[in-house]
Amino acid sequence: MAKILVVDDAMFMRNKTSRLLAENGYEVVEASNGEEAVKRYLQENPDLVLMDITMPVLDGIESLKQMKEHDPHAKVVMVTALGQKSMVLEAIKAGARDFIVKPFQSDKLLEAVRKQCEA
Amino acid sequence: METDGLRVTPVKIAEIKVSNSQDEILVAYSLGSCIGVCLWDPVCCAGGMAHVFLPRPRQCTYVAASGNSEVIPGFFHPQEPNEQPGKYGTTAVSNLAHSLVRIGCKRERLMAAIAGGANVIPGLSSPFGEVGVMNLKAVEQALADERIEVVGRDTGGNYGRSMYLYVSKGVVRVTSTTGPEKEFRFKE
Amino acid sequence: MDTLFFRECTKLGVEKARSTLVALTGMPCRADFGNVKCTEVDHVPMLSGYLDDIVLSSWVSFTGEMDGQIIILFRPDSAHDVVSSMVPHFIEETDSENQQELEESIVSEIANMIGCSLLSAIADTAQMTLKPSPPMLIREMAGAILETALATSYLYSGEVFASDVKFSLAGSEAVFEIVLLSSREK
Repeated sequence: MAKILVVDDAMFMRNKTSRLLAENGYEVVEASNGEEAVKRYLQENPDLVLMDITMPVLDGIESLKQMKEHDPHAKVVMVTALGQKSMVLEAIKAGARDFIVKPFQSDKLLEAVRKQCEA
Repeated sequence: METDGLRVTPVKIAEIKVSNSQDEILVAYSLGSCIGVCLWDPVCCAGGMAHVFLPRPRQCTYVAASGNSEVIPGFFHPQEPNEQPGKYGTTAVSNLAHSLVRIGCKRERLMAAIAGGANVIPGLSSPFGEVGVMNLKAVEQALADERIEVVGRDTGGNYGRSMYLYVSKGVVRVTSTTGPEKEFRFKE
Repeated sequence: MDTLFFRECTKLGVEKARSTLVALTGMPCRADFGNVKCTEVDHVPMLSGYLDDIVLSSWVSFTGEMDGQIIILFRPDSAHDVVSSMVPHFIEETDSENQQELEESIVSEIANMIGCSLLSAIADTAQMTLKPSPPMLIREMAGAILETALATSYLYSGEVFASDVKFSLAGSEAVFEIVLLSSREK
């Protein structure tokens, strides 16, 4: 059973995403900002990270870069309201596997998660 | 806020209103960083209010040969003639006093109450500082320059206020979002 | 960046924000595009109508080729209506002590999505990168919030683009307003 780290500063989004993933058989851990995310990644060693971008303390792109430094094989999918083209490019260049813009359909998210976990 | 059947006249941002009516209340609603300044003459029971928005007109800029614009410290644009008289802290007080003199008040009798100058958006600041703090400094300096005594103030903090001047009674009431309601009387 | 171009970018942004809201709530939604100005304005049109009513407001600042702020204002009952349309069983599924916190979190996230849609459309059209801060939720007099934001914008940059859009949700009384303040290009 794959373990997924859900990173978002909004409690509501963390709850919603975690519930969706748990209902579909995934194990879930959470973090509420980019710095906490890096710590949890090192502690929990998840199979996949779902990362928001706009967060306090450390944003999602910086967090992604730090995770990649520790683990070049880290699988991170950005899940964010910030869908600017330049942001998408920056995330992909930093090593993100996919980029989902909120609001998202539940099945689209599950599809993306399944794809990454099977790869 | 009871208005006792009196006429309520809002003083919008950058405006100045004066009154010697028996039945009028001047009010500046929703003061955040703005400052509401009331001046009142106890002999003719007339007063006015200014709703100050910015501390002073923009500092002078010039465009250098490189194309960059730079601020010249200490040089300020004068207020433009088409700008509202209550807009700037540096000029609102004298404009308000002048308007009161025109309806029969005497400058030397005027007293002041001020409210506002808060920062309701935590963490918002400009490179020059917080606008509420700057507004307050400009207004207090202007009142000192005009030698007008401040008999009541409810300023600073992080909550919004509304300021009411009951013109004929010489009473100022300040309501706020989370702070206490305050009242100042210009004469006992 | 001139006023006309800013207006066009903002219009596209508003359309994107509107379709985001429709996706979130599943309900038709209208956007009334108010004023767009770029100048030192003496009258601040967006402040009319609130007096000193308390609103729930999401505040975001952004930086990049332009700096600015996005302020989204909800009257408390409108906030509740928008939340209910997005999370229909919200009341039944939450116990009362957590309700305000959860409602605020949902409002914050809705505001985040709508604000980012608006910002992204402007950024992409103008070929810029505009990075927003995480939203801050403030419960305060509407005018106090807007005038503080506007005055700070003027201090910072002298000339400000300001646009003001009212959104309404079909089938409910929910109405909210988005105010965008932006410097000219740096």
